[in-house]
Amino acid sequence: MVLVAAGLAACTTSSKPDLSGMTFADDPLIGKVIWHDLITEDLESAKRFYGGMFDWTFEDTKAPSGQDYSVARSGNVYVAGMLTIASPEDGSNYSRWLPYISVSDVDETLSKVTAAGGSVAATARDVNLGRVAAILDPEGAVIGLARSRFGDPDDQTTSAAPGRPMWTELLADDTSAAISFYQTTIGYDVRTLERRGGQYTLLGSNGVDRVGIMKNPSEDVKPVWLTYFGVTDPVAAAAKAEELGGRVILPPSPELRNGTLAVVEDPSGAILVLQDWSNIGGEG
Amino acid sequence: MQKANRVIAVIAILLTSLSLAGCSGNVGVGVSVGIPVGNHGYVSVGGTRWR
Repeated sequence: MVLVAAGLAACTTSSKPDLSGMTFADDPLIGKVIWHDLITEDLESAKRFYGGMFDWTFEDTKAPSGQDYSVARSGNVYVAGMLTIASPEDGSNYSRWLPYISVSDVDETLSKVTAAGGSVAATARDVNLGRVAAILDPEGAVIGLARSRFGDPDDQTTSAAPGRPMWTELLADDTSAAISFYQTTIGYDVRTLERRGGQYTLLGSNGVDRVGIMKNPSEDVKPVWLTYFGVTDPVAAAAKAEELGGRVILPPSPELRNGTLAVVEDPSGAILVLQDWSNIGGEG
Repeated sequence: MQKANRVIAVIAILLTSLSLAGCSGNVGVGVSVGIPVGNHGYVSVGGTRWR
């Protein structure tokens, strides 16, 4: 009984997340990316990198499976989680940012995913955030699905700012097929723009753009969902990334969205985009 | 008496497990998804797409 009391005490005191800096929508914001997990082979290195890049603070905990898991805060807003994963023996890299999209029903959406040619990367399960799963779309891009038990952070809480995830974008080999897949499974509205680099498609709901899709720039890149993080100065941020053990893949350039972004890898090889936070929307 | 103690002990362990499982402290996900990632360096090949 002492153990029970101790367990319950842990529930009601220090172990509760401090959500005082966040506000939540009354209804699920379907299609909004409401969480990001970094899957990394080196959690301590990742904490040094992202702490240095974005001034994040960390709360160390355990994932449901028992692995080390650290939750990051930017100021008083929870922005991401970081999960250790063992290096695979074949030398391939598993490190990635994994966004989670809000859906009304995770299990129902999984059925739509498989019917539309996608597959299940992680089966539906209940975790601290709520009910979640991860999928591979028909081209193999990985993304999460979530139904939050806290409610979805509203757009004011997640508004663009330095150190916050601010946009999510798919590099797809077949953009038309990808648009159709996410329209069918998530229920997005579609808006396509013409830009200097080609067509860019915005997927949204209730009049709010939530994610973007663009043509994969190279046949050698596997289709992937990219997470954009707000920075004040992309040039300085790219230099900082290198200083902290990352690698610059696309340096800021006036040719690339007017110098508002840089694409980098963190020390474990996870890719991320550094975006001028005042250039909201990411589509340039 | 021993049987009653055993039942109480099992209930206590179950309640503890449930309380800890349902109330761990954070908002995160933490699902391990081990899908190999390709070579991101090639993103730079198509830099013009980002314009």
